[in-house]
Amino acid sequence: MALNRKIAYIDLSTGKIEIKPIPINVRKKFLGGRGLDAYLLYNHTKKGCDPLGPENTIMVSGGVLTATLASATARTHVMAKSPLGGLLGSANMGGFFAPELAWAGFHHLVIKGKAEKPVYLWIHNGKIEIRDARHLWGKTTTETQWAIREELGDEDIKSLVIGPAGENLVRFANVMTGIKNSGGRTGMGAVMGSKNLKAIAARGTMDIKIAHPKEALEYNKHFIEQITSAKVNQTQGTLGTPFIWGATNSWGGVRCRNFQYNQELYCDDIEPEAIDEVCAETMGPYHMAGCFGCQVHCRAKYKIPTGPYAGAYDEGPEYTSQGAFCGEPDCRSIETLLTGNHLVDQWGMDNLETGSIISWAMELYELGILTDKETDGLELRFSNDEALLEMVKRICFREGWLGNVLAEGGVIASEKIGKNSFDYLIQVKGVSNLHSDERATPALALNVATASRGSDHLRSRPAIDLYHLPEGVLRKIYSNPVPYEGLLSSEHTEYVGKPWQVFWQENCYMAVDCLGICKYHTVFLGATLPNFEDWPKVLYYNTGLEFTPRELWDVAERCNMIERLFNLREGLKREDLKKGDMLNHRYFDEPTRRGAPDVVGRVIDREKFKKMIDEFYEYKGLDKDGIPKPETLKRLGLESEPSHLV
Amino acid sequence: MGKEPIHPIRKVRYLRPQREWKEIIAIYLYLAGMGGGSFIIGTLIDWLGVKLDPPFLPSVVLFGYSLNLSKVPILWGPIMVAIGAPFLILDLGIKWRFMYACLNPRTSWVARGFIILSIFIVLGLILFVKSVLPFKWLYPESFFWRIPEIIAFIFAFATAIYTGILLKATKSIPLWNTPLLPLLFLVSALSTGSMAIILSSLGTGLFSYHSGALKTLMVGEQILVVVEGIVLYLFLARRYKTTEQGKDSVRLLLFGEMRLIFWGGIVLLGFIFPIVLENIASFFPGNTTLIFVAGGLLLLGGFFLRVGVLHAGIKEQIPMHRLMELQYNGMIEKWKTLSEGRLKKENAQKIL
Amino acid sequence: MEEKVLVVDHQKCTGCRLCELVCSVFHTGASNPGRSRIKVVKWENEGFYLPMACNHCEQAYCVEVCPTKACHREPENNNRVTIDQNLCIGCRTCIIACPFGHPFFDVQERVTVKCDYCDGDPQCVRFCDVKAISFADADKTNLTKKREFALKFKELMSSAR
Repeated sequence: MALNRKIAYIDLSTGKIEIKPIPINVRKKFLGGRGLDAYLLYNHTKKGCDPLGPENTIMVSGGVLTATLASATARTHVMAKSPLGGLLGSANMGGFFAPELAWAGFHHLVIKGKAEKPVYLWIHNGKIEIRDARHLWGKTTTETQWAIREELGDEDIKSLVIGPAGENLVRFANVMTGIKNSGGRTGMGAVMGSKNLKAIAARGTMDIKIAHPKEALEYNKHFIEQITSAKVNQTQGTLGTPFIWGATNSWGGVRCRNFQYNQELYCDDIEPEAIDEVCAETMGPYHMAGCFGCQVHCRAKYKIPTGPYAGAYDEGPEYTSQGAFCGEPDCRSIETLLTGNHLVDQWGMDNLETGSIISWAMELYELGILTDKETDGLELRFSNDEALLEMVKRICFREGWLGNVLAEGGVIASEKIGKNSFDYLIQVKGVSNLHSDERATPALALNVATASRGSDHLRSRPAIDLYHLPEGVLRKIYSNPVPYEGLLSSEHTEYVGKPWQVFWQENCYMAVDCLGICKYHTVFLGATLPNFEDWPKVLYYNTGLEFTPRELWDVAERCNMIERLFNLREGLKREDLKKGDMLNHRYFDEPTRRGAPDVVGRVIDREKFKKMIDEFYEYKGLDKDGIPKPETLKRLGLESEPSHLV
Repeated sequence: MGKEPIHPIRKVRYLRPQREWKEIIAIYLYLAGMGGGSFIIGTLIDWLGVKLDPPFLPSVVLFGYSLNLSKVPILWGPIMVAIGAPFLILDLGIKWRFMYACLNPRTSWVARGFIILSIFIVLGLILFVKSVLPFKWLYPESFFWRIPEIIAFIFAFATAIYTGILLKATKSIPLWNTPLLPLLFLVSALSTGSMAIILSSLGTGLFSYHSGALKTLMVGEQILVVVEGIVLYLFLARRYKTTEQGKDSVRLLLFGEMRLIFWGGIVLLGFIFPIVLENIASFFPGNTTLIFVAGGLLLLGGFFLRVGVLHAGIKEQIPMHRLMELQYNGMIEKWKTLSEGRLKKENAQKIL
Repeated sequence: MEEKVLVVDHQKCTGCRLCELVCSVFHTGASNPGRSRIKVVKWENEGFYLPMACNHCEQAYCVEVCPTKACHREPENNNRVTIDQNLCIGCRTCIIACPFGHPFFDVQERVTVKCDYCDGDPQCVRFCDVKAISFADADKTNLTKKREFALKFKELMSSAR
C-alpha cells in the first residue's frame, strides 16, 4: 500500500535516525507531499531560526500517489525555511527520485542538525545510512550522481544532490536530480549545503500495493488520453516549455532588461523552433524525454553545438532558462542560452533567480549604481553574453566582491550595494519573479504577489486566464467543487473575478502537490485537464483512500493555511516590500512599452489591486492584514497548531 | 596491465559478473567435487589391496556387534556429497519442488545432476555401510560387490565432472563455456579428494607416516596439483582469448575485484603453500603437523577455486549492447569533427 | 499463422518507465519496477534510453537449461517462451543462461518470471504513447522503418526535381 510508506527523522548532528509510520488521521488531514511537508515544517522549526543554521529543518517528500498508477507521479518536494527570503522555502521537481524513495519505503524525510563533515544519505529498502561524502564534495551535480552509482555499484540509484553552488551556500542554490530536474526556487540547495549534506541516494524494490489494480490500469489509460489530447500538452511534448516563452513573447508577456521592456524583439535565433532544431540536429528526430510515468515528455535533450562547452550533453532549456539567458539580459545567442543552461544545471543554481539577479546588476551598472570597481572591471552591460556567463561563474563560486554579494540573493545584496538599488529589484518576499510581465494581467500579478513561497507562478497562477475562454467554461471550471456565484471575466486585463480564480488555483495546485502529480496534468496550461472531479477516483483506485472532491479541497485549503501560518510566524506583513504580499512599485508606475494593443501602455491600478487582495483574503478567511480569523482556523481544524501529530 | 579503461558507455570497468549463483552453489560444487574425488582415490586404494592397519581406531560396538571401521577413512566420500547435495536444494526458490527436477531427467544438466548425485550417494552409502557392518552374510569380500563398486566408481567420476558441466551448460557465460572447465574441476576434485584421504588416513593413523602407500599417495597428490595448475593456466589463457567478456572475466579474476581471491585464495593457498609445505615436511619425517597445515590450505584453495570461477562469470555481450556502443562511438566521432577548430572540450572542463 | 512480436524502437523512447509500472501492476498488483518484466535501460548522462523485454528467441537458452520444463515454448500463443510458475523450482539457471538478462528471480513469489506477452495484450504497448514499443505481426516488423526511410527518399527526390 502507498499508505504504509514511512516518515524518517534524521538528525545529522547526532546521527540518530527514527522511522515512524504516518497515521491515517494525518493522511486524512494533510494527505502528503507539500501539504504534510508544510505541517512538518511548522512543527519542527522554531520561530525565527537561522535558515542556514543547524536548527533549520529540511523536508524531502513524495506525494501520496507517488509511484502509483496516476500518471506523472514523479514530483519530489523539498521544503525548509528559505535562506532567500526568510519565509517559506519550497521547491518541487520532477525526475525519478520520489518514486525511488517510495519504493525504498519512505514518503517523507525530515532532516535536522548539521553534519561535522560532508555526508550523504543512502536509503535502501527501509534502511537509512549516513555515509561519508568527502570525496563527493566539489563535484558537479551529474558527476556526483555517477560517483554515487559507481561507489554503491548500482546504476539504478537515483539521488538528490547539490552542486558547487549549494556547497558555497549561494542562497538560490538548487537541489537536483537527474540532468536537469531541479528543485529550484528559494535556495533549498543552500540549506542542504549548510547541513553538509551533499546528496540523498535512494534505491528500492519494495512493493507499493495498488488497491484496485484493474480499475487503476483502466483509469490510467483514460487519464493518459485526457492528458495527451490537450493541444497544449502536445505542443509541450514537441517543443517543451520554451513554447510558452515564445507564445507569451509574441504578445508582450515576458520580462526583458530587468522589467524595462515586456517583449524581446529580433529573437529568431532563440525561438522555440530554433531550439528544437538544435535538439533535432544533435540528438535525432525523437529528442524528448519524460519524467517518471509521464506522457507529456516536455524535456528536450540536446548537446551544445558550439562554444567552449561544445559536445556537452544536457536537457532543457526551459522557459526560465530562456528568460534568464535571453530575455532578461537581452542576449540573442542560442549558444549563450544552451551554455548558460548547462552551467546552472551542472553547478546546481536556480536559473530563474540567477538570470534575474544578474540582469538587475546589469541595470544597476548601466545606471551607474554599480561601477567597474565593484565588478572588478567586468563590463556588466545588457546584451553582453560573455559578462553574463562570467557572472554566473562568479556567483556560483563567490568570486569577486559582486559575485559574493549577489550570491546572497537580491534583498541582502541590495542592502550591501545600497543607494536606491532596492527600487530596481523585482521581487516578492525576497524571491525574484518569473520572467513574465504581469502588468497587463492583474490576475497573474495577484498570483505573484500572494504566492506562499514568494513571487512564483506555480503556486496559484490562473494561466488559462490568457486564453480568453468563454465565461461559461470558466464558470464550469471555477465553481467546482465549491460553488462560486460571483462575477467572472474572460478578459485578461480585467480585475473582477480574478481573486476567486487565484484562490481556486491555489487550492488546485496544493491538491496536486499533495498528491505528487505534475502541474501539467491539471488546470494549469490546459483547461480540459483533470481537476478536483478526477483525483478522488485516482486516489481511491490506487490507495483505497476515500475522498470527496470537497474533502480534497478542504485538505488543500488547510495546507495552504499552514503555509500562511508559517509565513506569518516568520514575519510576513501585508504591505512589507521585503516580506509581504506586495509588488515592486514599477508594476504600478512604469507602463509597458511594447506588445500587442491590449498589452502596451498598461500598469496595475494600485487601488484596484488592493481591493483584489482584500477579496482574495476574504476567500481565504483572513482579515484585512492577512491574519487568519479564528473561525477560519476552527473550520480547518488548525486552532491548536503546532499539534505534533507526527 | 594495471587499470583498464572504463567501459565507454556504462562508465563501469566491466560488465557485471553474475550474482545469481552465490556461495551456496560454491559449497555444493566443492563438496560434490571433493567427495567424488576422495571416493575415487579411496576405492582405488581399496582395489589395490593396500594393507590397512589402523592402530588408533576405536572399536565401536553397536547393538552388540563391533563395527569394522578400517575402511571408513578411505570411503567417506559419499557422505560429503550427501552433505553437499542439500545445498543445491537450499538454493532453490521453492525448496520442496526439487522433486519436479528429478521427474524430468532428460531436460537439463541440473536435472541430470540430481540423478547422478542421487545414484552416487545411494550406491556410495551402501558400499560405505557394507564396509562398516561386520555381518558375515553380506559376504563383504565377495566378487559380486565389485559390480556396484565399479558403478559407484564411474558415478564418482561423473559427479566430479558434472560440477563442471553444470556451469558449462549455461552457454551465455564465456568463462564457463569450455570443456576445460569440467576437466579443471575433475583434476581439482582428485587433488582435493586425495588430500582429504591423506589427511583422514593420517589422522586416524591408517597409514603410518613411513608406509610406502602414503608416500605414493603424496607424490600422486603433488603431481595432481601440478596438473591442476597447468589446466588452470590453460583454462585462463584460452578464456582470455575467446571473447571480450571471457577476457573481462579473466581480468576480473587476475587484476580486478576478485584478485584477492585469485592470488591469495587460489594460487597461494591452493598451489604454492601446499607444495612448499609438503616439500619442507619431507625434510622432517615424523612431523605430521606440516602436512596437516598444507592439506588444510589445499582444501581451502579448492573451495576458493569454485568461488572464483563462479563469481567471475560475466555474460556475453548481447547484440543490442554492441549497437548502443557503435552508436555512441559514432556520436563521439561526429562531435569531434563538429567541435574541431573551436575551443577544445578539455579547456571547457577546466573552467568547470 | 498469425504471430506477433514486440518491436522496440529505442529512439522514440522518452525514458518515462511507465511500461515498467504498468507491467508490474498488471502481473503482481503492485507498483514495483523490481518485479517488472520490461526494463528501460538508461544512460542518463548520454540521453540513451533502451526498453528491453524478452525477445522470445527461437533458440532459447532458458528453455534448454530448464530442469523441470517450466520454461517452455507455446507455439499457439504467438510462439512465446514462458515460465509456468507452478512448475518452476527457482533454480535460477535460466537467469544465468539468458544472454540478455531477461528472466529474473521474483523474491516474493520465489520463482523465476519473465515476459509472457500479457496473454496477447501487452500492457507496455498499450500504455506507450510514443509507440517506442509496439506489438506487430512478425512478418511486418521491418515495414515501419522501411516506410520511414522511403518517405525520406521520396522527399529528397521531390525536392530535387
